[in-house]
Amino acid sequence: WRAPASKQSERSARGRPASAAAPSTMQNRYTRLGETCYGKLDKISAELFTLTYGALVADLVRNYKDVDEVNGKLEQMGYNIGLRLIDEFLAKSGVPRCGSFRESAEIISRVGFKMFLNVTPEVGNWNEQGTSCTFALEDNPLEDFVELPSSAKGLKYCNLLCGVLRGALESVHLAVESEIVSDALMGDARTEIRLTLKHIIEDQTNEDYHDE
Amino acid sequence: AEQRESRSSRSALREMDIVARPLSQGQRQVSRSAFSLLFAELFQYCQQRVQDANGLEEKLKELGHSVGWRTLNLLVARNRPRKRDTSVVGILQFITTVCWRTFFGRETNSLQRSTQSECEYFIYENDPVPNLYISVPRELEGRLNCASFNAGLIRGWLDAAQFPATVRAVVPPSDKSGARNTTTVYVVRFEPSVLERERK
Repeated sequence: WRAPASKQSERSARGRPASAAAPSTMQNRYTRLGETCYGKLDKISAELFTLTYGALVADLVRNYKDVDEVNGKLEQMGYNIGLRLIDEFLAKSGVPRCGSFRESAEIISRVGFKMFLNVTPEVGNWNEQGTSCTFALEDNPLEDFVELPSSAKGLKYCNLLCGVLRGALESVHLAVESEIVSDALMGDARTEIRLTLKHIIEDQTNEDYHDE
Repeated sequence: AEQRESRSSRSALREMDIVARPLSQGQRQVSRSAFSLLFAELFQYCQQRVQDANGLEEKLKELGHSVGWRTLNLLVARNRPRKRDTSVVGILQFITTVCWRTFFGRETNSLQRSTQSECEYFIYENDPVPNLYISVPRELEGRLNCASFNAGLIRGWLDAAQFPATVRAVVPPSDKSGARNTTTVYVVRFEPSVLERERK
């Protein structure tokens, strides 16, 4: 178990082999951390949150005729939120450096999602290399009270979440792709987001920098 | 096994027509940060679509209205199913206590009647939630109040309850101490038809 590194190095989670702790202990640790963090935060009615999001999506659908444009806009907005959310997440949770992408995924679910949305999506469907998994939301606060009309075919209602994941992880140097692969509003059993690690973003030094 | 059971009951719920599903208790919560992050982004989105501060406030009111308008029945059904508010004071009290408590976890600070106009009422709120996390750019200071979203909410509730009115969010003139005023006043102006109805 590594002691929490300074904020600078916390921002880069390198893909190293998993730490010595067994998966279930790690999971329990993060579950407890998530619950503690959520407990300390101010709360607000989930319905206000859900309905405000609904009002936003409805407005987008009215203004952008093309469903793909709406999806793109939602993802972009999520991305902007992710960039801001990561600072708050790191500051309030104090999670240490991750040993692997598997660990990152557990932290996202048990601490990240828990802290903000008070849900813990199930992490699963890992690929062989351990670089891609799905987050299954049994009970998605964004989708309460929502029913999509047939004219909204192709609308990815929760695309904001995909953007949030992309923005937040990019800030800790993980370039990811996230997309909705299963949507409860479209008739599937539950909403699932697939998160795939593309590569680790190396620290970029300015091209003009010369070692004097 | 417990998880599986709740999972199957949840999917059973999803099979049902959305309006036939049992009413939720409304106890669910999320962290306030989630709302503030969403609201900040919503604010940016509105800003891109309008020309000026006035337009921005109107856009926020519009979004608040759509939320309020949809939720009045829900709030009444949960909290006061056997009684319908038919008086102005009654509906305003319902809004400032029950509705506010459901959404924001607290009540507004005070409800007053205007001495100058019989169709105007003032609702005072300290530190409205939308204003907590948005810092208004200096050029818009005094002209933009993000609590217009709440004003829209109030108007939405009133519309759904058949009390047509206009609602604006204003900041009362600050006191002499010079400290930044974080109180917002929602000025509710009822249409004459509402008052005529009251008089009967």
